[in-house]
Amino acid sequence: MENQIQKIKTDFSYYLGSWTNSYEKARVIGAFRLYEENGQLMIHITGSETGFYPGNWGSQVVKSHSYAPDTNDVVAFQTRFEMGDMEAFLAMNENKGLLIIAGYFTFKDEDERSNCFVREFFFKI
Amino acid sequence: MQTAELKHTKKDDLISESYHEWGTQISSFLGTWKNVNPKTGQISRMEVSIKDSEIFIHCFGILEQDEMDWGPTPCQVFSSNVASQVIEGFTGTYDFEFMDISIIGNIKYGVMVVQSCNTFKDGSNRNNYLCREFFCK
Repeated sequence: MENQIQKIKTDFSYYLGSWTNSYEKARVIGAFRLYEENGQLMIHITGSETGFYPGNWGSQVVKSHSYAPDTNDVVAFQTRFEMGDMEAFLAMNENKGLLIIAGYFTFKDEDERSNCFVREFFFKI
Repeated sequence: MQTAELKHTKKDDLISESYHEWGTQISSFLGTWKNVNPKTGQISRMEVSIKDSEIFIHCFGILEQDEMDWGPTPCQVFSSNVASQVIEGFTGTYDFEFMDISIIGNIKYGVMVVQSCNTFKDGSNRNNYLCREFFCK
């Protein structure tokens, strides 16, 4: 598949499907699904019921990154969710079957919540 | 350097009033852990069990079409400190005719990280190697 961002033809098949958090008390993201739609790689996220932002986050386009400029072996992704009261920037990378999400969460309202960083681990189901 | 009287290597080794029996929370450690890497070349899954108060790991090696049963081996478990009830690490060994394998694992956020130190003893001059992979339930 050749998406709008990745210039080299890229095979996402290894990543497509459902991934679940390895930790039963997940702090933010419970599970997500990667899929293709209209030539774009998409992610649909479900917030963890034990986390600080549960529920359906909806879907967003995912930008993929290869290991090097001259390779098409996708090893990482990034995406951004605008949630009304919170902005989530998610940096993801793959390591031996795990997808690791480093999430940077910025709260937009004027309460006292601290912007925070959370790193979570997912395996494919 | 004085070592004869040494009873601890770090301050936390000293037992405090908060000490309670360590390593009693074992349920999250027991069970079957599967390698999340479909391309693994070594251990495809590991079963952790307890029998007569002894804990065993039982590894299965990956083959092209099947698994190789390595059999169970006793393991030693570790908490993060002398007062923690939660088991966070373990070690175990396998002694095959051609190779010794030392397995060192730790568990964090539901991921078991397994490192194997693989030492050839068959005189083949192959390099000993380290393997590090991730397992989930």
